[in-house]
Amino acid sequence: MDRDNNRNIDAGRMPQRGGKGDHLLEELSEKGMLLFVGSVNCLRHKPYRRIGALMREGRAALLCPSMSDFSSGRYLNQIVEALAELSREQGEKRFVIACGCQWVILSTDSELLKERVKQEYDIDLTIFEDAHLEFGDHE
Amino acid sequence: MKRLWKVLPPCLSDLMGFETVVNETEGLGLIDDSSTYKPLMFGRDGNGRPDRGRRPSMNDNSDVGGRPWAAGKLDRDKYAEMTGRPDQEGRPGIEGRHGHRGGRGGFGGLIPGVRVLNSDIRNEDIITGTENKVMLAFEKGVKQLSPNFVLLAYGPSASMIGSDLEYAAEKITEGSSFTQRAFIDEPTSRRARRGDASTQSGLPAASVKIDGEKDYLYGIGCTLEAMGRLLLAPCETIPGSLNILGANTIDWAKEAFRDLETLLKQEGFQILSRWGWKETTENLKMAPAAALNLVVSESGLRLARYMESEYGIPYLAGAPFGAASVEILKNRLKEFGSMAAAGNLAKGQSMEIRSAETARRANEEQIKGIRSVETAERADEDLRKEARSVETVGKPNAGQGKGNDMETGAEILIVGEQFMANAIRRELLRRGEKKIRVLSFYEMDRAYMENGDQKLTGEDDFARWANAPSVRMIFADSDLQPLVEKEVRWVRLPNPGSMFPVESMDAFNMMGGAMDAWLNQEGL
Repeated sequence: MDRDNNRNIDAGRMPQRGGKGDHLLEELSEKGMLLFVGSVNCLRHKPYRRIGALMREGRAALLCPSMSDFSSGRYLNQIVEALAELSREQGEKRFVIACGCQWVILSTDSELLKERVKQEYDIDLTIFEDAHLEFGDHE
Repeated sequence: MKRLWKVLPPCLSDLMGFETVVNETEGLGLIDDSSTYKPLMFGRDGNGRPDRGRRPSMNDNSDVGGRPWAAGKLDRDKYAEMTGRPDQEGRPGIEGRHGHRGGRGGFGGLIPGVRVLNSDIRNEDIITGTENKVMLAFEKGVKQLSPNFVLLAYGPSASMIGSDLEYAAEKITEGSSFTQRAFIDEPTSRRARRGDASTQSGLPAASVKIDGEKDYLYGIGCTLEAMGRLLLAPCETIPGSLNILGANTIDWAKEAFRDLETLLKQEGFQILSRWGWKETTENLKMAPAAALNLVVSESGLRLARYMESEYGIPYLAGAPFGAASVEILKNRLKEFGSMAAAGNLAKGQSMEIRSAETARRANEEQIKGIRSVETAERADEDLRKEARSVETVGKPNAGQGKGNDMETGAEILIVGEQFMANAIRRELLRRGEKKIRVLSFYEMDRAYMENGDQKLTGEDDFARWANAPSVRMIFADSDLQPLVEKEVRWVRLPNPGSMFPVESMDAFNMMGGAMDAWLNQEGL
C-alpha cells in the first residue's frame, strides 16, 4: 500500500501503523471541526492523544451516545443536533465526523446524513469511517 | 446537549478501570474487542494514562512514558518485582523488554505489567460471532500469564452484537470442550505446537458487564464485585483483621496507600487483602475471613455491599484524607474493636458502625413503630444525629451537616471522585467554610451524598452550577475552567482519570495531615 495514500482521508482509509496516526487529528481538523462519535473507550488510541488540546481550541468535540442510543437509531438525531449546536456556537459550517466501530456495525448511511445536515443546516460534512474492526489498532 | 462534550477531555473508560484492576492481580482479563489495551502503568509507580505510553529514548529524562527504568524513574529490579514474571535470564518480571508487543523478539508476547488481552475481532466476526476469538485469546493468555482466574468484558463492538461472554466464561470454567471448538479452523501442526491447552482449563471465570461506555470508576467497581463473586467462599473469621476495598492505582498515590497501611497496622489491624491494589489471589480469597471492610473510594462500595450481604462483613466507608478524617477513622476502628472484644459484634450484627445507608434503614424501621408525628420527627432527628455520630468517615458528621446549609446556594463546589471530594468538604467545613456542594461526573452513591450534591450529566450541567452567582470557589480539574464565565478562586484537583488532559495533575498523597498541608499551602 502506498503510504502517501493514507493522507487521503476522504477515502475513509485508516492510516497505517507506525506513526501516521499521530497526524490523524490534525489532518481531519484541517477539513473542518472534528466531531468524534462513539464510545469513550475508543478514544484510548494514539491518534486521539491531542483531542483534549483540540477541544480546548474549539476544533473538536465528542459525542458519546449510549448503547441504547445506537441500537434504537437515536444517535442519528443526536449527531444532527450536536452538529447544529456546534455550528451555532462556533459559527462553523464544515465538520468532519470520526466514528467508532458502532457506525460500521450499524451500516450507517453516511450519504443520507450528509444530505440531511446540508439541507437543514447548510453544513458540509466529511465522514471518516474509522474502521478499526478492519485495521485493528490505530497506530 | 447531553452526551456532547465540547471542553472536557474524555476520562478513562470502564474497560480501562477493568484493566487497572486486573493488571494488579494474578488473573487474566479478556476484552472482546478489536484492538489492544496498552499499559496504564508506564512511567510511574502506579497508574498512568495512555498518553504516557510514549517510549522515550534512553536519554529522555521527562517524566512521561517509556520503560520505567529507562529514564531512571524506577529501579529495574523493582520493576521486575512489580511485574512478577521471570525473563529468560532468570530476572523476575521483565518480560518483553525488547519490543513493544513483548517477548524478547518483539512480537507475540505481552507488554510488561499488562494482564489484559483483547480477542482481536474483525469485521467477519461480527457475522460469525466472537466466541472462537475469545477462546484463542484465552489460550494465549493462559500460556503466557498462568492466571489463577479469568475475567471477561465486552468491547463496544462485542456489546453491540450481543456476544455471549457468560457462555464463554462457563466454557472456560468447565474445561476442554471449548478447545475443540476454538481449534476448528487451525492447522493441525499449530495445534500440536500449542500443546494440551485443555490442561489449563477449569479456571474460575466470569464476565463483567461493562462495555467501554462508562467511566473508569464504574469499571473498577464492577470488576471488583465480579472478582469477589468469583473468588470468595465462606471461611472462619480472623479477629482484628480487615480488607481494604477500592484503593485503586488511578486515584490513590502510592504514598497515600502506604500511609493508610501503616495507620491500620498501628491501630492493631491485620490487613488480609487489598482490592484494587496489587494483590495475590491467595490473599484475595482470604477476604471473607476479615472482621471488617474498609472502603476508601466509591469504587469499592459494590464489593463491600456484596460481602456484607453474603458474608455479613460490616464496612466503614470513606477516604481518610485530612487529619480530622483520620481521627474519625481511628475512633470508628476503636469502637469496632471494643464492640468486637465485648462480644457484641457478631458477623452481620454490627448495625452501629455500618454504612450510613444501613443506619438510615434502621432509622426508617424505628420510625415505623412511632405513631405521633411530632414524636416521630423528634425521634427521627435524634436517630439521625446518632447515625451521623457513628457513621463512617465517608459522610460528614452532624455538625457539618448543620453548617452546610444549601438553602441559599453553594459558595464552594468540589468536583471529583465522591469520597475524595467528601473528605475535602469535611476539612473545609471544619475550617469554617459553609455551603459546599460536591459534584461529580463519575458515579456517586446516594448514601454518601449530602443535601445539594449532584451527579453531573454533562458540561452544561456543570456550567449551570459553576456560574451560579453564589459560587466563589471551585475545587476541580483545571480542564473544566473554560466552562466558568465568572471570576472564581480555582483550586486544582488531580485528574489522573482524565485520558488526554490539557493540564495534567497526578494523584498526590492526601492521607491524614498531607491534605491539611496541601490546603494550608493553598491558603485555605
